[in-house]
Amino acid sequence: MSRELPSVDEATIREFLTGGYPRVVAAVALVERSRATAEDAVAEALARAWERSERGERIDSLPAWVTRVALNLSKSRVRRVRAEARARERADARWVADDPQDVRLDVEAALAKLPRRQRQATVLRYYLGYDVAEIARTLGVSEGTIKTTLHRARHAMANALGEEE
Amino acid sequence: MTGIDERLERDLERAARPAALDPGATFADVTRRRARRSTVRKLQTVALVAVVLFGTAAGFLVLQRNFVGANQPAGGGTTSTPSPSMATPAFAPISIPADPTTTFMVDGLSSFPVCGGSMIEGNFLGTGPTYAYVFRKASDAGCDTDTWVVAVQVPPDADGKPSTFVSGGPLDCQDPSACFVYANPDIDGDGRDEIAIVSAQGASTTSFELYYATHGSQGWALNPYTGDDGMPLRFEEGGSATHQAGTYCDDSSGLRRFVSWEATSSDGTTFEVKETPYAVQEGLTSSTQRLATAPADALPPHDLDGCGGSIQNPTS
Repeated sequence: MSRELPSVDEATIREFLTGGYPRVVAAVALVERSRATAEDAVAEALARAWERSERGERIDSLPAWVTRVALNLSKSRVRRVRAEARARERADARWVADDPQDVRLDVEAALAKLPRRQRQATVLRYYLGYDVAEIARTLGVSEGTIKTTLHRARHAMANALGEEE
Repeated sequence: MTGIDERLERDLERAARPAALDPGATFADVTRRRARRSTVRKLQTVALVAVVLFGTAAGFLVLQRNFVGANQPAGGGTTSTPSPSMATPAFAPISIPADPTTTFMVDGLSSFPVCGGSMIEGNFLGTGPTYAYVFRKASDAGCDTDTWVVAVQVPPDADGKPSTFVSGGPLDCQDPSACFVYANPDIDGDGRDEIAIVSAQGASTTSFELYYATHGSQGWALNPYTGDDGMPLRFEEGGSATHQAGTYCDDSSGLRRFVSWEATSSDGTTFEVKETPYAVQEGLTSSTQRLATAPADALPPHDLDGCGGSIQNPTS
């Protein structure tokens, strides 16, 4: 009797770590405003993907699955506190930006004022380039809800950044 | 693509600061986490087996004692005491406006106004009857946000400290008309009620999530029962001629199990039934699904049957 090979294994994870991983961490960090929380949530999501795959569950798109689960996990306040404490212990100073500080502050400040769902949708749409259907699947809500959410987010960001819609 | 779209793409790209690459260290971290999860899962399985064995043995002893009692002469047996009915809380609930668009403040709950409230009574904290609520967060502009919260009224204490609230959420609701407290079942049979909250409603199916209160060093907290992916577990009730779903509690093994099921049929008379039993142990843990065939009039129980409490806010 043959058994289907796991959809996520060591090779898949190593490939993801050298491919899509930096952008997924950066996306979660944009939503949560915490790089430590993002790294912790993405690593935990990867471990869960690996474990679930070994138990026979099929994961068709590892980046999409990890993004969805990491966004959910990063909501936990306990996880956030622990991750940031660990980062402080490591004196992790990998927050390096070579962009003008004002650009970072403007867009990050505007993003920070949005409700969480709008932040998630904005980052998935404009940073990861997801379409409405992909965002709806990732956040587990209807496409109609996402269209409304993106419309409100875009309006709020335009106001905050002084841009015409 | 308009100016704001282009600016958002450009500025987010620059603000994102992609993670510095250290695949080796990250892979080692993932491997450690996977090993830890595997160990925890094994320990949970062992604990679950121990609880089942203990429950079976305890049930056997109780049954044995009852049957021995039945053989004794009249008057020699023990008498059972009926469960006390739920008393009314000794404090008043929040007065919720009849108009769901009316915004109002709730003292002790939050600094923001709320609207669209719903309420149910139950023993959610294990300290006696109290009230649970679902509110929609309002803004300065009115009842227009997409954020809902669940809250439980903590009774006033003997020193006269007024009642406060423990809240949880935000709830994953998509429709203002389908986000409300639904029922007060006792899913794990510990005497403390959980809060069933409707989070979505279709033409014939109602989806709900379950929240429970815990007390730790930080005080009370309200959390949803979640699946492996961290998302709140969602259960369904209702259905059509060819698709049915429901939930119930099963005490037949001596250990309470919460069971959700769905059934599909091609002809409306015979259904393929898939049941998912959950053990309650620091969360809901699903076990092996059961598959069966059943006629339309012999589908499993539904509407949280056997879980205690009642559906006080039916969806129709």
